[in-house]
Amino acid sequence: MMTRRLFLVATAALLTTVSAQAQDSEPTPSVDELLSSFEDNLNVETSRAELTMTVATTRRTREFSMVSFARGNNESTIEYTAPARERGTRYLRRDNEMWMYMPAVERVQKISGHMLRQGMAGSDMSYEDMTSRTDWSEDYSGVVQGQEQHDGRPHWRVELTANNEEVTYARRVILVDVATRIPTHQELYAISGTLLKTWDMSDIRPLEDGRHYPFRMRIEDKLKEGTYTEIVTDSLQLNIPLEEEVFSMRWLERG
Amino acid sequence: MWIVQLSVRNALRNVRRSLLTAGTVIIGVAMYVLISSFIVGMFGNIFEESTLYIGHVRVADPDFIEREQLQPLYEYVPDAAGVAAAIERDVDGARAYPIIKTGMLVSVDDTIGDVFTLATGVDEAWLTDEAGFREQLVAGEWPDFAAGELLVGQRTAEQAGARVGDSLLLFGSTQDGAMSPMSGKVAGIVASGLPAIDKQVFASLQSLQYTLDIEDGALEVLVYGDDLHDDVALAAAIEGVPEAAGLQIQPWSRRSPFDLSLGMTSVIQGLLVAILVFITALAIWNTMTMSVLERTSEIGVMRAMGLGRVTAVAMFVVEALVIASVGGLIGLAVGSIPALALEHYGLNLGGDMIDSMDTGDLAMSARMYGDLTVSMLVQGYFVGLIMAVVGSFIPSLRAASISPVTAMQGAHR
Repeated sequence: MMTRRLFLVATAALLTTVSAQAQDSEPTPSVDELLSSFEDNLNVETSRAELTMTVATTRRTREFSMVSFARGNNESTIEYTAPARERGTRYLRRDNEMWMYMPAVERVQKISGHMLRQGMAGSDMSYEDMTSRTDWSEDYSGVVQGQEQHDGRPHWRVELTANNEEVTYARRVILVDVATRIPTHQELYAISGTLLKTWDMSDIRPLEDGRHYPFRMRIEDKLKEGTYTEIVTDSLQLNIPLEEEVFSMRWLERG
Repeated sequence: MWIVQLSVRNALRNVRRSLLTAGTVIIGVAMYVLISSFIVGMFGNIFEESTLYIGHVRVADPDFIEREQLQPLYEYVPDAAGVAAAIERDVDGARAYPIIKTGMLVSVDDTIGDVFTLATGVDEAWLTDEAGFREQLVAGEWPDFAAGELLVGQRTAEQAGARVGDSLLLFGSTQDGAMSPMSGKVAGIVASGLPAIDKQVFASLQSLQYTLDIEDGALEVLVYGDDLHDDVALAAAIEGVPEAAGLQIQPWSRRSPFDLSLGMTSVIQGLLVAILVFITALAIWNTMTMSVLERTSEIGVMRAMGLGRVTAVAMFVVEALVIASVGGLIGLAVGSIPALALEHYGLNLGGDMIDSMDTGDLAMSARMYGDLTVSMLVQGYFVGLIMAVVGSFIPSLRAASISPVTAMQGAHR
C-alpha cells in the first residue's frame, strides 16, 4: 500500500516536472497572440458577479460589497450593496462612457473629464481604469521579453507601448502566466516613465468552459503611500440571460 | 534762545522762499498722513475682517496645517466638538467653533458645473454671532440648517445662476478621495462685500461631516477672544487645554499670509517715510542752499565777530525747523481732511480687481477705509521736522565752512 502511494507521488512529481519543462520549452508566442489569448480568457458574453472590494489606506480600511453585471466587453454595471453610506450607488458603463447614480442626492451624473482620474469610492482603481478601452491588441504593441518565474510559476514577460496618446497608460510591463494566459502582474507607467500602478491577479480558477479566471485582484496606486485595493469575486455566474434594462439609464435611476 | 529769534527773523526776511520751504513740508506731511492712514486702515480692515472668518486662533492637526494647500481632508480633528467645549471650559472668555471648509463644484441642475465654491460647514452660532451674516442677508430668509437648507454667498449664487428656492448640487470628495455629493435648498443669499466670503456656500457642520465622511470631526476649531490683537496670549492659554494636546494652535498673526502682511505694514510705512523725507529734504536743501548763498557775506561778518561753526550750523537748521514746525501743523490739517474722508467714505478698488486677486485667507473688501489716529498725526509732525533737519543740514555745513575773509572779499567784488 505504502509502495503504491510512493509510486503515485513519484509519478505525479515526474509529470509536474515534465509539464513545467514543457512550458519552459514552449516556443515564445507573439505579442498579438498573447494579448488576444488573455483577452479571450478574461472577456465573457454575460456575467453576474458578487464582489467585495477592500480599500486600505494608512489611516483606515473600508470594505464594500457590490453586484456587477457585464455583457461583452463594452457594457457593465456595478451596484453597491454595503456599507450603508454607499448602498444604492450604481454605475453604468457603456463603451467608454460612464454614469453614476447617487442615492444621497437622487441624481445621475456622467463621469467625465478630470473626474475620470479619481479613485472609485476612494480606491486605487480610477473610473478611467474602468472605462478605458480594453482592446489591447489595437491599443498596444510590444515585445515578449522572455520567460521568468513569478509566484513559482513560469510567466511571459511582455513590454507594451501605447499606440496612441489616448490610452490611459503609456507603457505596461506584464507577466502573463504561461499555462493560464492570465496577466497576473502588471506595471502601469505614465508617459514620463513614472510607475503609476501595479495590478495583480491571483486565485486563478478554471471555469466550466475550460477558461481560467482570476478571482482576486489587487491594485496599488504607487503615487499614494501605503494604499491598496483588493477586489475579490465572491461568486461568478457566466453566460446567464440578462434583461436589456440592466444596461439602461432607467436601471441606473431605479435599480 | 537768541538762535531761535534770529532764525524766525531770517525766515521772515525772505517770505517767498520760506513759504516755498514750508510748502514742501506741508505737502510731505500731508502725504504722510494721508498715505499712512490709508495703509494702516487697509491692513487694519483686512486683519479685522479676516479674523472674523479665520478666528483669532485656530486649532488643527499639524499635518493638515503643513499641507493645507493640498487639502488633506483625512488630517482632521477627531472630536472637534469636544475640543471646542474644552477650550470654552478652560479659557476665560473664549468662544470656540468646529469648522469644515472644503472646495466643491456647485450647480443648480443635474450636471456638475464648473463653478468652484468653498463649502463651509459650521454651527449656526458662528454664522450669526461671529460672522454676522444674519444682518447681511440680501435675499430669502435665514436657513433652517438642520433641514439641510443652505446659505449661499452672493457671488457664488450669481456664478451658478442660483436663486432662492433652487436646489443646489455640490460635488466634493470624502476624506478618502471618493466623489461625494451634497444637495440643499437655497434659503438665503448673503452679501458681506468680501469676495472671498461671498464665494462660499454655508451649510450645517453635520452636512459637511457626512459629505467628507469624517464623523464628529472638523478640519479646524476656530477660537475667538475679546481682542484680535490678544491672539498670542489666547493661543498660550489654549496650550494648557488637555483636549488640545497634539494639535497645533496657531494665533492669526503667526499664520501665513498675515505674519508677512503685518511685517509689510511696517516696511511700507518705513519706505513711505524714507521716500517722503528724501523728496522733501531735496526741496528744503535747494531753498536753504539759496538762502546760504544769499547770506554769504553776512555769515562772513558774523563768523568774523566770533560766530562758531556749530552755531552757524544750528542757525540754519533751527531756521528750517521753525519753518517746518509751522508747515508741519498746516500739513497735518491739509492731510487730515482727505484722510478723514477716506476713513468715512472709503475708496472703492473695484470688486473685479479684488476678484482677480488670489487673496486666499485675506478677506479683502472692494471698498477700503482709512484709519487716522492721533499717533499718526504726531508721527507726521515729527516726520516734517526730520525732513527739515535732513534738508537743511548740508547747506548749513556749507554756511559753517565760509571763512570771514573770503566772504567779505566776495561781498566787495
